Amino acid sequence: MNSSPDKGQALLDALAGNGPIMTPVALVVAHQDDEAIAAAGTLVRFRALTLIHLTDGATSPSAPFSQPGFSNRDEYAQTRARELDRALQACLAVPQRQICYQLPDQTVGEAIGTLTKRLAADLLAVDAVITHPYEGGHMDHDAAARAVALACALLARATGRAPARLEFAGYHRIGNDVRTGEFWPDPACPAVKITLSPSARRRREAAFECFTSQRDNLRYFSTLGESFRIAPDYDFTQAPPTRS
Amino acid sequence: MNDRLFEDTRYDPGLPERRAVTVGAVGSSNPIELANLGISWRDEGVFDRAEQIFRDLIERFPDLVYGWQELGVLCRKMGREEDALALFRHACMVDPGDFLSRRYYATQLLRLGHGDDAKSAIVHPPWTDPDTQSAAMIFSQLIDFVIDHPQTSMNGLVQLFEQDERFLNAHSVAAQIQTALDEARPFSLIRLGDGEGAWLSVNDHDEARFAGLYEANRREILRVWFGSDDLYNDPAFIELAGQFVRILEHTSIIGLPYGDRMNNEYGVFSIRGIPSIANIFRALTVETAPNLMVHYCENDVHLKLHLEGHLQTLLKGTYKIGVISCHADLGWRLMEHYGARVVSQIIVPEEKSFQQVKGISGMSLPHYPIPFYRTIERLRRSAGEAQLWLVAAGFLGKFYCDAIRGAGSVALDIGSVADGWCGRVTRPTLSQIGRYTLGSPA
Repeated sequence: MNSSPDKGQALLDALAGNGPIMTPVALVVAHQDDEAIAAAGTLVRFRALTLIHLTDGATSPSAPFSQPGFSNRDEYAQTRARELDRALQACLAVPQRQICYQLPDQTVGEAIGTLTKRLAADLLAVDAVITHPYEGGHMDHDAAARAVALACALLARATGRAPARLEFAGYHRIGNDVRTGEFWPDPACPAVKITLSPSARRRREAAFECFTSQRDNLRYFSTLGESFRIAPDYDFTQAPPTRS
Repeated sequence: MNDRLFEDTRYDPGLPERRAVTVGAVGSSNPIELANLGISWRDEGVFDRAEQIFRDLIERFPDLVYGWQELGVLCRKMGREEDALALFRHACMVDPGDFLSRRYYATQLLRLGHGDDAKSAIVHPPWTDPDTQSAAMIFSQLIDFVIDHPQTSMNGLVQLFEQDERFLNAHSVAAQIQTALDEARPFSLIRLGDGEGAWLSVNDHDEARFAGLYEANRREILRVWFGSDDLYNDPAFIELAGQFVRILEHTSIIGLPYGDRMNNEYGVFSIRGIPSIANIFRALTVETAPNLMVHYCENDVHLKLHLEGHLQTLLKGTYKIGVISCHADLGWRLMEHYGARVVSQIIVPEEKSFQQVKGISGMSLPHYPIPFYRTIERLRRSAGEAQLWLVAAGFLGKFYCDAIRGAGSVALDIGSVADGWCGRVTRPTLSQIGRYTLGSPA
């Protein structure tokens, strides 16, 4: 369960404001560009941010590689890392710590055991963690949501406290449509939608432009706002929500 | 500044490779190979073979300084002080512009009680290169320092502390920590080494008299800590460092270098070691000795607290634990291995000189100023979340310990024990790493 709803609400309140966010916060995302989708307009306000990428963004060396314009997975991963560096600069984000666990794309779920412990070790240092929702959009996103929830539960059992668990709006499918920037509704966990100021919007746009390799995906995401909420207590034994 | 002018002769990381190269160098026509072979024998304690090689070197290459210098070092090591003096003097005559020969000669004069001659030997040669001029100035200030504060009087000062009833062994330190925790009393244990000593100021007169010496040492220490000495001209950092001695006034237990360390520094005539270690005792005599609440212990007490099981006892208790270090996995290891109740962890950038050994903390900024002030702010806000904080954060970590004590909790400056727990050999004292390493989280 989300063991620190008060801290979570305090962070949501801070996100809804305009000032700097001093709380130590981790943003745990699966791929290089997910942090921009999450909060490119807002990241500049985080003063004690730990940014964790679970994958290097390229498929496993053992999987067939077919990314147009790239000759191999390492070249693709390096490009994504460079794009991330540029995007963080473009949106003026200065993470206090920045780590990549270097898992291959689409393998987060397979690593959930070791990943949970490693995340727990890193999340010891923060008061709140923001990650993907469990929404059926991308298998790594769902696995990230699960790993973060498990890590927080592990910390709660071991120490009696865990970081507040929040999530950002990503994308999910409804039938053949892709819905971006919205959560699956959950009355118990209302979303806070931040309407970005003109300068914050420019930061988000500038970050998006840096991910040239992801341009086809990012065009589906609005640059007008960013949404967050306290993470629901998902039942990860069940499939993520689906709607036809 | 040419650092090679200040090469410390105690450490020679290239020795194993050099030995390999010099095997069979007897009869070599290369004077460097011959000198290195002799040094190897000398370091092994095989003095007669070393002397034979150095004399051979002098005979074959009388116009090179190496044979004269190294035979002089050998004689000094064997207690033949006057022979050493003559050899160093001859090395200076062979090459009047060789700074190392001058340094050996001046040091030997000082050892034999000729302080003024020692200064004259190092200052008066016609140094033209600015680096050497600066090195000569710094070395002459070291000579002044040793004349003002000879080894015997500094040993006496060390003994004053070590024989004081407030000087505690590791067991008593552990008992004091336990009592502070049980009584919920503010407490801090801070250990001092040569880095901290370099930044301790005794008084304005002393600062002016040894300005060049102290500046050289402080710059060197800054490079070790932060990878550059830019902060030497940073007013905010200078002010912070100036407050360090004030922190010690409130510290519960201060870890001090042991007497042998002082003797080692004087023995090798270390530019950094002598004033930095001596000034710890000089500053504390003025600042803390009158405060009967301050206790002392050896500065390797952190290792003893681990090896004697005291830290384990504390960690296995029910106390809420906070950790500050550059190791992201430290808190988890403590939880897994000891069942410690780690409720807070703050990660700080590693010392730049240890970056390769310690790994990457994931923090690109140097420890000072931004991460430092954020950590201080965080501790002021929430240090009370944990009852016992384990701090491994170098010089700046001492300020964290003070902030934690100020917030009412207990702070222990555990230093390299944190490296050991995470399996990183950052000090010779951690060479038996198996006695320290805890399990990894993944």
